[in-house]
Amino acid sequence: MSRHQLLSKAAAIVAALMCSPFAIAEMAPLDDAGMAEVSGRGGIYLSGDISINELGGPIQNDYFGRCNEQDKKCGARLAYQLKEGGGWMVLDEIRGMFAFEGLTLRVRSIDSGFGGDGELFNRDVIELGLPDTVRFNDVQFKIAASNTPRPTDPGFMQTDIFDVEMQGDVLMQGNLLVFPEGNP
Amino acid sequence: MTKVIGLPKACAALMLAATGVPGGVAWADMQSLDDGELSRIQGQSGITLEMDLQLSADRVSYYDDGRGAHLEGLKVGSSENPGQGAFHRTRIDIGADASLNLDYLVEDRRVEFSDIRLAGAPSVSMGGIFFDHSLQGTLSIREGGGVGGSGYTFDSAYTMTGGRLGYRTNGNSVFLDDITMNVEALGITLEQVGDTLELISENVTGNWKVGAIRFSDDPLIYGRATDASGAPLASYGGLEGDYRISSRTGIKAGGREGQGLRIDNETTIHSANFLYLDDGNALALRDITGEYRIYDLRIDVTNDNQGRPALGLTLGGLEGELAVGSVEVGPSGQSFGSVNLAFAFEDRAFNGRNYTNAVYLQGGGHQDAGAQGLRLAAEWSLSNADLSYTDNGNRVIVSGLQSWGQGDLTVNVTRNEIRNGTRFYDGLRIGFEDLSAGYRINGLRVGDENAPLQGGTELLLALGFYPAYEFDMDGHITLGAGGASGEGLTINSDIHVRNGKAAVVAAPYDEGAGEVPQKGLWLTEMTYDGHVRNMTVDVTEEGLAMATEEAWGTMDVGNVRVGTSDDGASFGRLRMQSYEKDSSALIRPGGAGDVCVGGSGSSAAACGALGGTWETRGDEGVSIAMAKVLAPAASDEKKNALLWETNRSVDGQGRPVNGSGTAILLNDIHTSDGGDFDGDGQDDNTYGIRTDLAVDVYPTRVIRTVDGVKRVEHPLGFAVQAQSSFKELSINNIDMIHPVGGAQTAVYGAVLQNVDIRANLTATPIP
Amino acid sequence: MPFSRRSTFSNAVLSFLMLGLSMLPATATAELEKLNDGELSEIDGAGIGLVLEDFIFSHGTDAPDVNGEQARIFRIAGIQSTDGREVDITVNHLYIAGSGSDYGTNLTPVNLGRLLNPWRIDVVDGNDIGITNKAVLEFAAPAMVDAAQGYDCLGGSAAAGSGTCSSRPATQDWQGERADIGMQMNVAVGDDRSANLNLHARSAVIDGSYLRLWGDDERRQMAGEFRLNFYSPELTINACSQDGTNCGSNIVMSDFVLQLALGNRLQPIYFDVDGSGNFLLEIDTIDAPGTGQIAANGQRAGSDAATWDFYNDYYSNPEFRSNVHIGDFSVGEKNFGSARVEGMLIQHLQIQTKDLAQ
Repeated sequence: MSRHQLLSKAAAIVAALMCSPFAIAEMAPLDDAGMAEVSGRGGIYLSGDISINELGGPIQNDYFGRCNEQDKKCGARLAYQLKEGGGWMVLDEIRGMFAFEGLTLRVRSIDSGFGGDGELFNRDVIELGLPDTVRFNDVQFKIAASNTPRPTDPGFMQTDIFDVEMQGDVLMQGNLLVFPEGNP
Repeated sequence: MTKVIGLPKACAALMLAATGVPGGVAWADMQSLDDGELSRIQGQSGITLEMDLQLSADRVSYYDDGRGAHLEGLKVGSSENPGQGAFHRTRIDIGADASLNLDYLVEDRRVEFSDIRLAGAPSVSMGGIFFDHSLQGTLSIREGGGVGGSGYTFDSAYTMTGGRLGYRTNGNSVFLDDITMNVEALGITLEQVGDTLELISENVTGNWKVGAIRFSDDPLIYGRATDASGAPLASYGGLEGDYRISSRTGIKAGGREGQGLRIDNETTIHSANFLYLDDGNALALRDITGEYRIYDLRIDVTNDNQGRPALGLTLGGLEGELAVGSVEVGPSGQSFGSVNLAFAFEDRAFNGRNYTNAVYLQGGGHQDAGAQGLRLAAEWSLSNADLSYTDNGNRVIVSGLQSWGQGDLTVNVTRNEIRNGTRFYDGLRIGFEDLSAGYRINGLRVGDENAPLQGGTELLLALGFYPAYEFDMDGHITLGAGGASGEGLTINSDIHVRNGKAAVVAAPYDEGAGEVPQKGLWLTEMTYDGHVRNMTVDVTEEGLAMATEEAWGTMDVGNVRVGTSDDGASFGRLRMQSYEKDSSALIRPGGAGDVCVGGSGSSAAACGALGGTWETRGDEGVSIAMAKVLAPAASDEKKNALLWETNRSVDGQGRPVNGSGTAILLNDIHTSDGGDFDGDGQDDNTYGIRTDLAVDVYPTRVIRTVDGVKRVEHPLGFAVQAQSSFKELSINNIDMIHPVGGAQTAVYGAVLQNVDIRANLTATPIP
Repeated sequence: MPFSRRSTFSNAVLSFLMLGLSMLPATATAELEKLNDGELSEIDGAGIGLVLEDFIFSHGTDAPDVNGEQARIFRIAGIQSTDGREVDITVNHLYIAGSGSDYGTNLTPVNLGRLLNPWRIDVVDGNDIGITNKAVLEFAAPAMVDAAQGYDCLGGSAAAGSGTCSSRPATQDWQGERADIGMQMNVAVGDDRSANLNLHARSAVIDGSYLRLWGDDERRQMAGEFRLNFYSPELTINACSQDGTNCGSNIVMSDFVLQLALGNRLQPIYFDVDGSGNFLLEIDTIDAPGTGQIAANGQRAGSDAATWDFYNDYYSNPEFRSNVHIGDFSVGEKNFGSARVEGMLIQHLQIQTKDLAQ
């Protein structure tokens, strides 16, 4: 594998590490009883913060700008189309910072617990341990719909439906266990 | 008339040659002495011999158990004036202590041979070598001085200038150009102990420089630094170094089988520096120290394990330790930190098979590249290695690295052409044929070697390494000369991996109670096809810069398993395709420096006031800046896409059959600048996904709950400061694919715009 | 120049629901569910299994401190009422935790999903679920199980064999897989902050819920099928403010059962946005099964058999129908007894947001 591909992969992995807190945003953490069940000692423990468009994104045009430009949007924007030639569902103005201590990732063997299920299960799972609390700082996003994917497209129209704002400590405890089920 | 000097002295000269003093010395002395009459010299104040030497031999052969190895087309003469002799002048005198003292001067000599051939495979050759040099030096030989009081003692010192060492296959050559070298080796002793010749060099110092490493694809440009127009040939860059070493070498007769040679060696590197120079910018390995022991290295002319005639180098073992005090790039010598490697190569069983360490040199290289080239049938067994990285005094050790493998490496110097149906590129081509290999890592240790084993090897994924990987591989990497500008590297490669098993997350293979199957998250039944076109690598003032014209690849993972790689349950099949154009990366020394984690503020006070943690991560570390430009699909093969398939039917052996199940496909994922600003009818795509990473090893503040009590700990871990941004990332369509009904589109496009993600993350092993 | 407009409050409520649905692909597994009655066993593949172990989620909005600062804020805004006033929903508390939380005041861990019957994400063969020759992306809550092994969905009994739910109620030995879920909101319209709306569900189960998505090649559009099963022994709605005062009458629905079917394999649900940027949710009239007469008397005899069978299945298949059961409905002190709405079949549905500007 070439150096460059290695780097690309490195980028992808770091991106994945950075994004994983979102992917599991609703999930759970780990406790000490859980630790005792771990057979291997693999795994990592992530702490720190992740921010999205804290100052703005890389696009500078009539629509997007820095967050201190009053007449511009500075969040990230996702648009997707569920019908050919149709309009676009939009998640707009996505911004915020998440700070946490102790997001864990490891492989865990389960053969006990879970109200008797563990013994019958007797397999390995991937365990994402959620930090007990995640500190949200100016987290926001907006649900909208538009007729074109880019706000800079000719004839662009958008209906903003509602927006959500979250701030402060969010309690997220537990472990998300991920494992194969059924026929691969 | 020629009088042969005593065999031990000739042997001694040969020994010198064998222990790293350039062959030129041996040649010089032998030639000189051959022409002298020793008995007439004795007692005189000395004589001076001058000559123009021109010599040629069709073949010089060595036989071992009746098998021959031939050097063909041997010539010695002038490098500057082909067809003429090289000037030699030797002054010889005998010292008061009966020592033989030689002062010698050699001007513009070229030693070359056109082919190295094994008698058993006469149709192919390992290629030719030429060596140009001017030498000036002294050699003194006296009796006694060995450990047992007998034997001989040598003092040697010389300067080489105008050196040029080239390797040539099929008319294409790669050579080290403009080599200068100074060597001083005093008090070398040679003694026969039992049946072993023992050579001890207590103190060898030297420095050397290679002005450029050049490539020529013109058969007419041979042993010259310039092309037909007089312009310098493209250069890979130059090298420079110095060293002080001591070594002890034992040589015995007898190969692994019958005749041959056995060598044992212990070497200590007291100090050394190594620099790679690209247009004057250095990548430097400084303050190198270490030691290693080679035992039972045998050299035979023999057959490899497939019965192919070969020059066999088989090794009983090699172990040692190497430390690089500082890895630096840039004019101010900024450092990544220091690196230390402890290793042991020895026979060991992996996956129920015994592996040894051996290289069988054969002629031919890649079969389509021509009759000249090198083929190395190799087998290796790295039974254990610990690799550590230290950043501002904080050390992380990758512990229990093991590696094994077998297969053929081919080496050719090739040019840009399709030859015998195979595409070749300019440069030194390293080919892989049926290479079956693997490696695994037991875990991490932080602080020192005695620290408890921890998890966290998955952090290596961020550096592009799986914690464990087994694969069969074919393909090549061709290293061309010349970078993005001036000197540097241009890489083209095509790699095909089969039967891959890669761990994304892996538990230790040995926690102290013996070897166990590694549990983890595995990519198995994996194939990978990767292609890179014109990737340049340059050392610049800022760091190591890479730019890739085009790269594409497909990784098809038959099963993503949780548990062991053999029988862990599977999530199904995952196929990842990538296609990039004009992506680039810059790696430079120095990490994040001062960081406010979990807050903002440019001073410790300001950061703390806003709830953040102020961290001073020091001046060492690694920074990487990347721009990945994901190109829109150009074909089914060249595109970015992700496929997940489940519910496959199985074949007669119960293995799932790819393509027989139901799948979801994220098709044609690509970046864009968000519009067609240059008016060429296509969206611009230059920004890509830009990622800046600063990585440090740092004692991170973490809060852990132990027995229900929260406490603050500061374990060593990787601290990553990252920023990733892109203007637009699109998925053209998301299809649901049914084995009978085919693909049905469910999402007709998704566009993610204006994203800037920043992170301060510290990853520590779970204690 | 782009401009953005705001929809009316009433439309927003609808679009909220729709959006919630349409966003599912984007938010992946977070909210999932739906379920059917035992047919799931036909699906032999299940892809990725997910279990949340010892899970607690809690967020909300704190009362301002002396400086007017709020440590925690959770707000939904950007909506306008029909008379043009800003609507601002402050979420005082949103929680998911173990049962026995006492309306979110005592949060304990809970498991969601069982190792032996987890939440699932898979690409399944449509032939197994009546969606012929299509691959179907399915997000599913734990499947219903045979009544011989399952548990009473409303928690009347914690003994195996008491019902069809896989998720177990909490017992002394085991925290179970049924969560207390609640959301306390203050709805402000303009400057009027008087409206509170609090929802609490005790020991809730959504086993058998699912969302299935696939591509409809003829309409060139994503098609879906959504089933939500929601069981709770007690669902409470009240208007208490965050400090517990100003309560209106408590609405308590005991033994609450919702079995909602939105879209089915014959009439999928479609999501779209129209040309002016408004949402469109549609469940189309069923396509006639080709030519074939139904006898005047409606009997199979005399009718085209395939056609008759088609309609018979359509009208009689419980999978296509929605039900609401409330064991006991009380408002304040008044008890209204039980309520049942059974066998609702959506034959055609079109919901579209409208803009004030139009």
